[in-house]
Amino acid sequence: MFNQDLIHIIPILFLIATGLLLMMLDAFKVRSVLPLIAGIGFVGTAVLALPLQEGMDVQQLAFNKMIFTGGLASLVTILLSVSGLFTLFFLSDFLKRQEKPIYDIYALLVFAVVGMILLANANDLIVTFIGLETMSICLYIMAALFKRDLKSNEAGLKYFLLGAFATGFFIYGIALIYGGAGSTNYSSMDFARLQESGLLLPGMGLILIGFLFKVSAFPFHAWTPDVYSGSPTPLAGFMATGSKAAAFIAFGIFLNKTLPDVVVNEKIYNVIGVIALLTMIYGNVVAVQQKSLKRMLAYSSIAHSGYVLLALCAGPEGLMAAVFYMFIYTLMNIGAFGMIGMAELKDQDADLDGWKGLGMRNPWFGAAMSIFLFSLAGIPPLAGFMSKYFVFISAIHAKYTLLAILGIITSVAGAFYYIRVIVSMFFQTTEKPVEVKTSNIYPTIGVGILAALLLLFGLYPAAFTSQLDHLFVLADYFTQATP
Amino acid sequence: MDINSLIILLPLFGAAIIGILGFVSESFRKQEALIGGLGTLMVAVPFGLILMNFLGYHEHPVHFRIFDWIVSGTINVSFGYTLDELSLLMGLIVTGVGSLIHIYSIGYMHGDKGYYKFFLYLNLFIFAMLNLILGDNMAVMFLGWEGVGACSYFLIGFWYEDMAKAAAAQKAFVANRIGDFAMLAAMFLIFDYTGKATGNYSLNFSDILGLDWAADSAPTFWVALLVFIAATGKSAQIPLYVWLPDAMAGPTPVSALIHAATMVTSGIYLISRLGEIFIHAEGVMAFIGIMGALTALLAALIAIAQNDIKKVLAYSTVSQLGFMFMALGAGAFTTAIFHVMTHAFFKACLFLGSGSVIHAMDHTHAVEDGQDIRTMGNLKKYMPATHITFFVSTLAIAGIPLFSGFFSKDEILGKVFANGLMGGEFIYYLVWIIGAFTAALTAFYMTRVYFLTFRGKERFNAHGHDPHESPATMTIPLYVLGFLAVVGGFVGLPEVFDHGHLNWISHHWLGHHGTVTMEHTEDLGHVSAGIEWALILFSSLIAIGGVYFAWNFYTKHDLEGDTIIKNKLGKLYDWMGNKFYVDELYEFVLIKPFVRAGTDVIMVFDKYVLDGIVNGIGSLTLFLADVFKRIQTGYVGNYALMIVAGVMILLTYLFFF
Repeated sequence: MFNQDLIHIIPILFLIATGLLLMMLDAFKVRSVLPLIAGIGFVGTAVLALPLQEGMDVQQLAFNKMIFTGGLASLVTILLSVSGLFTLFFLSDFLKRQEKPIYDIYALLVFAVVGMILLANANDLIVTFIGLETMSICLYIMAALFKRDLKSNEAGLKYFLLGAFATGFFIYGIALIYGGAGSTNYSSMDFARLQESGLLLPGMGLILIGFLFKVSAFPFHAWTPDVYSGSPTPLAGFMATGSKAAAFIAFGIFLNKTLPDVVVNEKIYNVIGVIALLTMIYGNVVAVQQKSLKRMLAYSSIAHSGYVLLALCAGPEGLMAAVFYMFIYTLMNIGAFGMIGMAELKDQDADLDGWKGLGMRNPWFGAAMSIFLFSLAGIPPLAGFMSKYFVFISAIHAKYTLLAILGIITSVAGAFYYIRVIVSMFFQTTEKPVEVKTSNIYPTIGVGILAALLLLFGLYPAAFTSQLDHLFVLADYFTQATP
Repeated sequence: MDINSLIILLPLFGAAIIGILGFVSESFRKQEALIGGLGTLMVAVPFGLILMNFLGYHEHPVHFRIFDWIVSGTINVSFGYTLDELSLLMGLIVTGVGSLIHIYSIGYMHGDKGYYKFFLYLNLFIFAMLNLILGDNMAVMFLGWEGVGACSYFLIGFWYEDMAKAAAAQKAFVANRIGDFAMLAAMFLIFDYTGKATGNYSLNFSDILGLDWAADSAPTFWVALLVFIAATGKSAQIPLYVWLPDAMAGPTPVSALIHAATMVTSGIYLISRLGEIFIHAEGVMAFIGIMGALTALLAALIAIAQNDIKKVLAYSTVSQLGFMFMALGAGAFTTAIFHVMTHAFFKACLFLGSGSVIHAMDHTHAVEDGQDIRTMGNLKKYMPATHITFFVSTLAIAGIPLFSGFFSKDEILGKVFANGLMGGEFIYYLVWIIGAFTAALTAFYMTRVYFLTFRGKERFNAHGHDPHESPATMTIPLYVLGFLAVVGGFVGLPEVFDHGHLNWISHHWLGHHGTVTMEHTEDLGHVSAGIEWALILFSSLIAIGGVYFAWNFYTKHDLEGDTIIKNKLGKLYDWMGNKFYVDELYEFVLIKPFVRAGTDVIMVFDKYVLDGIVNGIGSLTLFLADVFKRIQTGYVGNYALMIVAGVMILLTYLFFF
């Protein structure tokens, strides 16, 4: 049923069409409308992904069971479109103030989201890989976007070299799994044969490494701070949220699709659990030492990866917690990175010193940034608290109580560096203050919407989680999904 | 959304609008009529909605839900509300009296620089109070419970620049915290018990009351006791009542609304709501009865020797709340709610009347303290409206037959006596004796305060600035409340008439469908009509006797009367005047040792142990960060090496362990 398949992937097709249109318009130098077109593309994708039609809320498979559509896949599509959309809010203003008239970025952003959607909705390791690479290549270019800026160049090159290195492990892992299981498709893998062949552990291990690199887990994290601090700030926010969300969801699907059928799952979960713990500790501890706000958020994003990894240990409930976590994390981190970008001067790194007293000079800015930081620190009633709560409770339900307790302790320690920024903003002064001078209204609108959403989901998480419950029940995600 | 949601949302909306506009706009703050009108409207419309529900009530509780708040597994806590017989009645009292007091405040707070804040807090209070009484689960109820506590704190300390008033607010807050702690413990127990009994953890009232609360089992006992302790905080009973008299530091409309008519009765509401649990905890019930009686007596004794008009009314509130707890202790939940209602009418009227008096006295600039009844007298001449409403309310609280207070108070004493007679519990006779004596004292001290304020010699020299009657926004609520104080009791005619079938509130409303558990005297059988008549006659006599004696006594001696009583009672009067030194006792037994423990023990512990740990973690973090930082060399080769090392370790583990 070819036509049926196409209908299923309409959101992705729409986004691809948007990307192509953006390239054409750029080529014909119709440039002022590019952000608007990209925005319409993201909104349209999200709307098309909404389970509006009868039966669309049911998880289905399309294209010979290669890709998930409907149900949770719709939700993920919406999540990733949202990350692209909010990045857009901050992007045009940032580029204008940095005096870098670059217009290819909008198409890149759109194609990166296409890659993410494929990655997160794949039911076949080959599609996972294609999605991963589509996304990564866009991200490499984004990191090196400012081509006359040394740091940006360095970021792009480092990201590319290490990414290529990790991709090697990933594709080799897929090859080994294929060799053992006779298929790259989750629905038709022969797990008995895979186990007999002896290729299970090396295959799983290598794929694991590929994913762990993408989500910047310790000790595969080293690229993260250098890349984020070198990249244009709003795009760093995009990398830290959208790309990680997609990778985490693909990772979670991979684990939930393969592990229940194999005997070694204990071992794999142990590995992930230990890495989760190390990642939380490492990220939080090093973030304390950072002077640059972007580097601080980079380490904080490593720490957050640790929490999500912890959730992934906890089976389907954990995956649900992870989806919620990444959604909230996307909102708050794009907001935080975006606001750092708003206060960034040309060719100058955002430094904690310059932010001293910013909250007193610009109370609305300070208040909004405080919402993002408090939410990142996981302080109620903001959404960051609820998302952490779901992660830890799922870990406890899965009997990872010790890890959950250690995780909570590290998150308390982590609160220190977020609140330090708030203290600086409101209680300290400096001789070289930065000023917030945005060139258009969009960043302000974006900040307002994001902060409001964080409050909403913090006070009323059921708005999202009940939807998630509903989708998981309908999707029957981990037993059978029929086309 | 259900239109009923507006009952809850409008007061919140009002608070938000007044708060935000007041915060940002200087000119809005000066629009007193607008602020007051808006605030009143946001309470009056919910009153109308509740009234519509009340009039159209068809034996089935109305449920409405604003949204699900927490959904986790089988646990579902929603902002869900129930309009049943009990909550409708409480809702009418809260929004009805609330509306009147909003109107009164428009005049009373005129010219205050915190005008908009006052209405913001009042609306917020109504919102919280409606959550408390309409909430269909204990979580929402508790939010309301805490919310009214917070608003009470804001409003007691409304004139926070005065240190004594700020301290009074703190005292109220701390005393309430103790009760709230018991409340939380009770909620935990209930949550645990529902889960164990049915496998479905819940805080919904319907689930809780649907359980079998076995007689005298441990959970029944502890839940009942803890809820009662919680109620002693909010409803000002021994030992936590001490905050309420100090709470008079707040503006007088606040005293009328929060500290007389509504918030302080929330403990009684909750016990009535959970009556199904309490009737199975007989020991706790007797305890509640005796504590109520002792509180009523103690407060009435103190009230006799007070000279501040609001202090007298405050102690009389504590005393009347004691009466309500006596009724609860006797298992007469409907009677307690009946007294909540009549008390709301006459006590709100008395407080608003005292506010009107204070307003007038302060205006004369002739007296140092506008609240001291020793410097008043003969105000009848200047303030006819205030006088007549205060007078009928005094008769109502004193329990003069046919006034509202008579019916409810008589019913309480009757129910307590019946408990002793039919249940054979001796303790209830004791409660009854104390109750009857306190009723006589009430008649006496209320007549005293009325007389010294409105009659007798004029003990101030106004120098031409005569006290004058308050504006209409203040007198209209007085008339309405005064009218209700007179006739409000007829909804609960005594049982002797037609076997209680004329008693609308108990028989046709609250107790009709089991919303409120009927008193267990019902099960014990009825006392004979002869005893009923005797009891009615007796309570009429003590009320009339008390009023008559006080009237004659103070007509004859005027202010000298106090001196005569003082000489007669000797040491006891000093004790009464000094509130039995309870505050001093608490200071000595509780507060001093706590402060001592805080400075001498905990400070030291905090400084050396806790700070040591915290700083230790800090140093460790910094040390680790220093080490970890070295990993981040910036060389891609090193990063790749790290990845390889990670791969080696990971694969080694997977293969060999």
